Amino acid sequence: MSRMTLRRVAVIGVGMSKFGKQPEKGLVDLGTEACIAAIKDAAINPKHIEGCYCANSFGEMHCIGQDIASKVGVVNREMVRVENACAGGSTAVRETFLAVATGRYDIGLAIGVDSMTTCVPKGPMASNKDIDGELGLTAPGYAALQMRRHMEKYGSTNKQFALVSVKNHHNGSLNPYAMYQQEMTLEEVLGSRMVCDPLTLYMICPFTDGAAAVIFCSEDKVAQYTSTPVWMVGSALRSGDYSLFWKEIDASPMGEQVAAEAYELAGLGPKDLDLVELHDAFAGCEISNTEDLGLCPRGEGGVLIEEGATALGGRIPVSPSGGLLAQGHPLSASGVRQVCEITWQLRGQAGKRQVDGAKVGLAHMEGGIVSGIQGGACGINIFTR
Amino acid sequence: MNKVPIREGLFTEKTEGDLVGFKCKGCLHVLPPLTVTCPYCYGEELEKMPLSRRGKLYSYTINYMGSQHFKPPFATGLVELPEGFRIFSPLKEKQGKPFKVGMEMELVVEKLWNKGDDEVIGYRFQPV
Repeated sequence: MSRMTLRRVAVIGVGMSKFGKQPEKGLVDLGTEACIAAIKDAAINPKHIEGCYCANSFGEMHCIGQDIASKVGVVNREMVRVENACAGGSTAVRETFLAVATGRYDIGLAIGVDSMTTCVPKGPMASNKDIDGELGLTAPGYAALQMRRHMEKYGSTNKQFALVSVKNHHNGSLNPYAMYQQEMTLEEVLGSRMVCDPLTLYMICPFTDGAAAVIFCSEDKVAQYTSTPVWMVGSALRSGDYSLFWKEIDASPMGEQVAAEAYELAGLGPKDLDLVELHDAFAGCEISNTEDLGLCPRGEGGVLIEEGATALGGRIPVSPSGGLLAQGHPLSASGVRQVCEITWQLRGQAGKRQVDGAKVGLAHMEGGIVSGIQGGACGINIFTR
Repeated sequence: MNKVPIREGLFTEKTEGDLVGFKCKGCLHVLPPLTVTCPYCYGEELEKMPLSRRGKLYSYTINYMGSQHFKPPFATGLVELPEGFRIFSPLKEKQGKPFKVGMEMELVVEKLWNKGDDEVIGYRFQPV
């Protein structure tokens, strides 16, 4: 992709639905709520939106993007639904960005939506008749295996895993969009019900219903819509290699590779970041993922959280929104929702959770379990103001 | 009750024996069960070979939530075989031998659950 000539592309509007358990709302209700907010934020006439990628994991209906978009005045356009497990939203963001950056159209809409309470998944593997899924491998069960390796190899501790949840719940308590807007103590996290040893209940993101939407615009038209554009400058996406059988599981070679590619396209490195929105579906993920992103040396993710470096006011705040743990995780919405948070942060609109003077933000999502490969997908997108 | 393997060709003798891995005829790498294409050379000519019955516990967890077929609590883990790769497996407890990373494990081929009138035969590893 870096060999291609890309136009500069800006985020001109973002919006979210309420995040929470709201089974009375369908996918279209949630998506419409987010799109209306994004369209208002961009102050754009919807007829100027020329294309749409809609990420959705668990809906059984066809053409979910078309249904949502038709409610807000976007019809007769190029529209595609994408599914990429936890990285579905990152994928919709990336594809919309690329469509604008390569000149396929000038203004595009990325949507992510899932209703986890009404479309309860059987598990990522069981539904594919994957043998490991049948044999009892689940997403939290796999995270627990990774966490135990990290503990064995680097001496990371239960307390460090729990501190991730304490930090992200604190951030969530400052975020009016978060599903959980309350503090959680270390004792509460460690003392909550054991789910997959060493993973306790409060180290696991909740099932959430919600949607998010982002409007992208080519540089030549940006001035018509906003004086505070947020530029999307880096993006990469990959599936995992055949490494599950052979490589250590306490790190994500897929995540490292995607980070390197996104940094290269952006011409930036980990030291340039002011904030990161990260895939913390399980508290242990945050520790190894901060290492994958190069925020600290390999094996020091536990120390990074314990020293407060990733807290608001720290060296590199991670998930000021509250992350998936507090913000909630409607699977395909999260990668789009992260872009809303980063946009608000870079515009200086993030209220009590504002990272002072934030100029560069990175959004990271990683997930999907497939027997034999290291992971389904990792998507990273980078933004500047 | 009929015995049926969880996957055809997974065991050397239909529903008993050893796990069946492969040796790639192209590059001679030894590969895990159910491999279709060699991940090293992309060759499709794979020769069946029985895998070691013993390995080392690489990581494990005790699950306190149910899965498709198992009621909690149940143990799962990754076992590293001498052939140089790991396989995911349900784990079987053994009195006086709590799970510990690095411990020696051995294969047990047995019924994991019933499906209609059939007994589904799969594998678990347990401490030696």
